[in-house]
Amino acid sequence: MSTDQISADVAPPRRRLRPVLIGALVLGVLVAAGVVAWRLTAERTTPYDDAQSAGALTLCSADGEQITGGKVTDRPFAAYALGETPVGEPYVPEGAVATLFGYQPREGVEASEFSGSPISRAAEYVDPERPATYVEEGAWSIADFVSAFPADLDGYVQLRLYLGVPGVGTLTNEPYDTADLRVDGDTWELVRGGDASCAGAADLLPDSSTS
Amino acid sequence: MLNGRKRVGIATVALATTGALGLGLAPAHADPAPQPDDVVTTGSDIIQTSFNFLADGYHQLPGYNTAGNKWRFINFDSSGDAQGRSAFVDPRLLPSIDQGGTPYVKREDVKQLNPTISLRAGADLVVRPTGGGGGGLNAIINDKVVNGVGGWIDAGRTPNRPTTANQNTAQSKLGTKVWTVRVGTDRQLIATATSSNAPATLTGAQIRDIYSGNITTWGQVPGYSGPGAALGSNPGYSGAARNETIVPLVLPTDAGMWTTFRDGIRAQTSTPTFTGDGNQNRITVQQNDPTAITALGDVAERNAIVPFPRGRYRVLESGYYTVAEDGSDKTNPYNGTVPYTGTTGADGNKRLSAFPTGVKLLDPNGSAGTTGQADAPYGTNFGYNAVFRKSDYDSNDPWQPGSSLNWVEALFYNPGGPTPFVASPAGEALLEAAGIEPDYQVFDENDAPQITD
Repeated sequence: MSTDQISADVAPPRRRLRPVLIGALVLGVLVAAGVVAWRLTAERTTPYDDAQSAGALTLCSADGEQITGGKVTDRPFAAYALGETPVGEPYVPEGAVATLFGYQPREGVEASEFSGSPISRAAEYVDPERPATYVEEGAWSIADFVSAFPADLDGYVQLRLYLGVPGVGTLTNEPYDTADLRVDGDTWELVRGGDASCAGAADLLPDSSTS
Repeated sequence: MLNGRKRVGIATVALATTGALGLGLAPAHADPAPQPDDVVTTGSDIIQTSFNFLADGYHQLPGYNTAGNKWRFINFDSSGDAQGRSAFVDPRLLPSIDQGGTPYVKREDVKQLNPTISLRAGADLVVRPTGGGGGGLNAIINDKVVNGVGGWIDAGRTPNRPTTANQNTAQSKLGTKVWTVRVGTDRQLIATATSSNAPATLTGAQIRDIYSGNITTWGQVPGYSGPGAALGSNPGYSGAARNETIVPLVLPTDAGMWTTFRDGIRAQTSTPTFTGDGNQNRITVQQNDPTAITALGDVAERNAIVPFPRGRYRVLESGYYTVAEDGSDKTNPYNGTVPYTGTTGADGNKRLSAFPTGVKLLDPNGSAGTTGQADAPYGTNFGYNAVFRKSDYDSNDPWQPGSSLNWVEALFYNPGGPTPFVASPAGEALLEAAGIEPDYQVFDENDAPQITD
């Protein structure tokens, strides 16, 4: 058998496979990019609606990285929560604070009727356009929350960032920013959240050194 | 479905005198009518502000009820007034007439209201449980259920923990003993006028001797060096103040703060027989009221001393309390038909804050324990307690819809589980806003500590 014969015998299959491989590669890249984009923007569907949800919350670590999941026992599960909806008229944002709350979605129950609890203490933030709060080590972990309020609706937990202003109180009737988590066993993942930069998050919170 | 993001002054006026301005005043805010599973507390007035904050928040700080849960945390104020003034004139504070050696108060001077409340929606009215002893501790251990009626008080607010006798009564009447959660610590200090002749500090032994009548003038205070001066800083002081008579203000004998004062002096000076009523120059005043000093005449004011809780003083400084009249007998600036001559706040609010103008605390930042330290500046810590049925802690009935926690676990005590609200970061922020130190402790029916955080 000559070398030419060998080449002639093998070449046709390679030519047929190349488009398939390229297509698969492209498809893989697209899928991977989609997954990355999906992970980054956390644009996903939740089995409940919240008409008061105005924007998305970004969860950040103490070293300025976005957090999209973790162990339910992590404490704190995020160092900072960044909102994007400022205090609206007619309220004056001077001295405004933000507090992170957790809520328990339940089947057939309006979001306004969810049970929940404050998770963080109220924190004053410096940029009126970028409400933010920090989560102390003493705050509830995700495991704590689902222990108190079991995530019976497919594992979902909703986080809300309520704003408050001096002389008025906590603005629970105003639009707020939210994030939606899903708990699965001993881990949780961010299903829907924001994509704000976490760099410099601590600078938004002058009192965050206690976190 | 939720798909992606949706873009959708002013006050220089002293606090109204409890006795004088308490005449016929309406409660500061309407009392709620608790629903069946709301958690209800009654009792101490000095503790009520912190519990009101814990329940409903303060300014921009959220409270438990801010979350909007179905069942609420409700506190009935001690007297019907959110800032703790009496809603009636205490007969003990009125001038008496000597009739054959027995003091009488003229009936027409007594304006008694005895405010009432409904402890549950739809229930008949009861006289409001008042004070940490009677309205807090005693109220809950007497809240037995008869023919389905009762069991309406879930926790009593009291600075005092239950005694063995209290526990036995609770077991007899409630079928369960009671547990105590201390949410924070306040400190009783000595208040004087800002223009007082008192020195910078007074020791426990000196306070004991003043209230016992063994010291009656400032010059008799060892080391006295003049008004506002540190003891011993000017041994040669010979000013006129040294000859002025000290006016020790005493509190009603059943006032919680009087018990705290006597116990504090007894412990600090190792004087178990101290009664506090041995000084002939004493004047009885309402507890926790700075105008007990500022309403005195000039001479008495600058020589008066009174036990006073630091938490109340700090809340006064914050401007939370309000002046109840504008100086022209107008009490309600919201009533547009009655001209209001008072000054409204810079933010347009129709109120005047009541600051502790003219009053200061001695050793205001002290915090150390003083038991057995007679020569240390007077100060005694006391707890802000919630007393509740042990059976409620043991209950398997979840409180809020969807939750796994009963109400005790959600609010007060949940060992091994999620931190209860009173000990959470949000709860601690509210206790600090109420002027006290968060200090979470739990005591069982034998008064044994369960946890110290």
